[in-house]
Amino acid sequence: MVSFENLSVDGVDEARARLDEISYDIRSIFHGHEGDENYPKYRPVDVVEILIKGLDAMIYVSEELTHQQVSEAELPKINSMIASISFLKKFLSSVARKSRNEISEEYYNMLVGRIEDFGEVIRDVERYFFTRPADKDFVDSANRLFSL
Amino acid sequence: MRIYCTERFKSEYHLLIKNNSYKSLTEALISAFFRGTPDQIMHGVVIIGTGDKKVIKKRLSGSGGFRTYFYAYISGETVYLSYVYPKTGSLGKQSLSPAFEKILINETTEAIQNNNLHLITESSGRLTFSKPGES
Repeated sequence: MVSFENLSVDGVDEARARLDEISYDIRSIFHGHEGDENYPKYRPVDVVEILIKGLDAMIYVSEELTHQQVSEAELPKINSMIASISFLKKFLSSVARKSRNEISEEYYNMLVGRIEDFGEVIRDVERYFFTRPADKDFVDSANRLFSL
Repeated sequence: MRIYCTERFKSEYHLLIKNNSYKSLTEALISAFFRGTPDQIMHGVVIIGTGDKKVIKKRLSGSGGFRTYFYAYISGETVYLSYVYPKTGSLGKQSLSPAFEKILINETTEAIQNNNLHLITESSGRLTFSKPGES
C-alpha cells in the first residue's frame, strides 16, 4: 500500500496516477492482482487497517490536487477523477457496513470516520474546481484579500 | 513562519479549550502550525486562490478532529488563522456554508487592513496571543 508520507504530487496527471495506484492497491485486497492465485487472504481487522492507510493516502493526494495549477482544458480530467473517487467512497461505505460485526467498535468507528473525511474532501475538491469559481461574490471577496 | 489570527479565531479557540472534549486543540494547532516544514504547514484543501496566496482548510489531528481555515501568504511566510471548529461533540459542525466562508474571508481582509490581528507564539506547549506593537 502506498504510504502518504512519501507521496509527491506534481500536476494533475501525477495526482491521477497516484489515486489510480492507491485505488488499485485497495482493489487487490479484495480480488488479488491479475493472475496471482496466491494473493494473501486478509482477516477483517487487517482489511480495515489497510483501508484506513489507503484512505489517508487518498485524502492527502486529493488535498494536494487543489494546490496544482490546473488549466481549463484539464477540468474534464478533474471531473472524471471526482467521479472515480466518489465511486470508491461508496464501495468502501458498503465494505464498512458489511464489516460491522466482524471488527471491534473502535476499528469500525475509525474506518467510518476516515470514510467521512474522504467524503468531505471529495466535496471540497468539487467546490474548489467547479462551484466556487462560478460564485462571483465569493471570488470578489477573495480577490480583495489577495490584493492586499 | 509568522502566525497571526483574527479576533474571531482567538475567541473560538478560547471557547473550545474551556471544554474538556476539546483539550487536544492546543496540541493539534502547535503540531500543525509550529512544527514541520512550510510545505507541511500549507498542506490542506484549497478553498480559493492559486500560487502564493491561498485560503486553505486544514484538517488537524487529535481526538474528534478539528478543521481550521487560514489565509496563507506563502512568499511573505505569513499565515492568518481565520476560524477553527471541531467536527464532533457539542460544538461540532459538519461543514461551513459558502456564506459563512465568505464572512471569514471578509473578516480576514478587514483585520489585515486595520492591523487588527493577534500574533500567536508557542512556548512549552502553550499558545500566547499578543497584539503586535503592544507590550
